[in-house]
This record gives sequence, structure tokens and C-alpha cells, in this order.
Amino acid sequence: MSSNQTPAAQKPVTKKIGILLRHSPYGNNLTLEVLDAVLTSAAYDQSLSLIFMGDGIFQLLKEQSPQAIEHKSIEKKLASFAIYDIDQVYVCAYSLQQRQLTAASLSIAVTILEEHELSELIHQQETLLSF
Amino acid sequence: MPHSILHTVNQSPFDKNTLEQCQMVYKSGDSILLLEDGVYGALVSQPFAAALNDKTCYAIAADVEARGLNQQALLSHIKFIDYNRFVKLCTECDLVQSWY
Repeated sequence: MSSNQTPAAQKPVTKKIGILLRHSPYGNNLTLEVLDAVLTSAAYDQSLSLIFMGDGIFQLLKEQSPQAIEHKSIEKKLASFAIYDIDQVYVCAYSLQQRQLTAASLSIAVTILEEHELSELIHQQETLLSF
Repeated sequence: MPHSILHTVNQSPFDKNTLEQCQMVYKSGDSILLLEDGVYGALVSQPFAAALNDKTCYAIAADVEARGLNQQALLSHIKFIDYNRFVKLCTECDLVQSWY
């Protein structure tokens, strides 16, 4: 990089960012924070993979109605992913089975990964963010 | 080329499944570090102990001693380290994943 380049002239750096979502929605504010981080990263054209495992899978359930507990809808936030071209969404098969859920129970399209595939995907990332 | 990951676990395996999730993602070349309440994972009696046997595993000695665990049966392959070694481990791995 030459020293007379302004930051604006630099080529944007695209990183493979893996975002692990492992906590259930509504019990804390983690989920809303991660979704804001996701949408910001997407606006900067980062290569995002969203990886749902453990109780994080409950964020994906259909027909959430959090009005009575005065919480923003996680389901609506997730629905906005398509607008930001976030389409690399992965779900842990084992976590689904444990909770007796299938892709049909989920509000957005996901790729279901077995344990070894999930591990490979996580090891390919250049940055990991854990929520 | 896959990256190496340092997995940190700070919850007891008797109470949370963070250690189990971590073991699911673990790959040869990775390391696991037990700290805070995660050090209960160093006990022979913990529910996921068998799966920990073939993995590179460290625990913060001060957290083990603080909880009186050095008087108990501990998994023999776990290396007990201080915070300086923890920092070095962070620099030796490509990525750090916190299972909290």
C-alpha cells in the first residue's frame, strides 16, 4: 500500500466472518445485538456465515409474538436478512434433533449441517463472533 | 487451509452444555481452555469427561485451586496453566472461540 492513498481509495477488505448464535431469544438482549452486528457487517459486504446451534435454534421458530413481553420480534429481524443478501444460514442437525424440530418449523431457509460439516465450516472462518 | 481454534469454556459441564458444544466443533490441532466455572470440566466425574480424553486441554490453575478442585480426582491429561500461558495460547491459535 502506498503512503499517499487515502482510506477511501483503499480496496475494502472482505473477511470470512462466522457468527455463532447459541442462545435462545428473549431471555436477554444478545440476539438483537447480534442481528444489528450482522446487518452492519452485511452493509460492508463482508462474507457472513450465520451458524445456529444449541438453543440458538429457537430464534428461528415460526410465529413468534413477543408484543406482550414488550420485545422486538426476532422473527421479523431474521426476515430482513434476505434484503441484505445474507443467505449463508446454517443450522446444527444434532441441535434440531435434540429439540425434535425440522426445517419446516423454521421461519427462514437454512442449510442443515451434520457435526463434522459444522466443524469444518467454523474452522474455515477468518473471524468468529460468538453470541 | 482450516484454522486452529482455541476454545475457551467458562461454564460448568454439570450445569450447561457449553463444553459438549465445544467438543462437537473441536478438531485435531485445536485446544480447549477451561477457566472460571469451566474448570469443573477438569473433574473425572463430569458428564463429558470421556470425550475430553483425546483432546488438547488446559485449565487455569488459579481457578482450579480457588474452588478446592486440586483435592479431587482430575483428568490426568489436562495441563494446568497461568494467565501468561493463556495469553501465549491465544497467540498460537488462529482463532479464539468463547463458549459462554
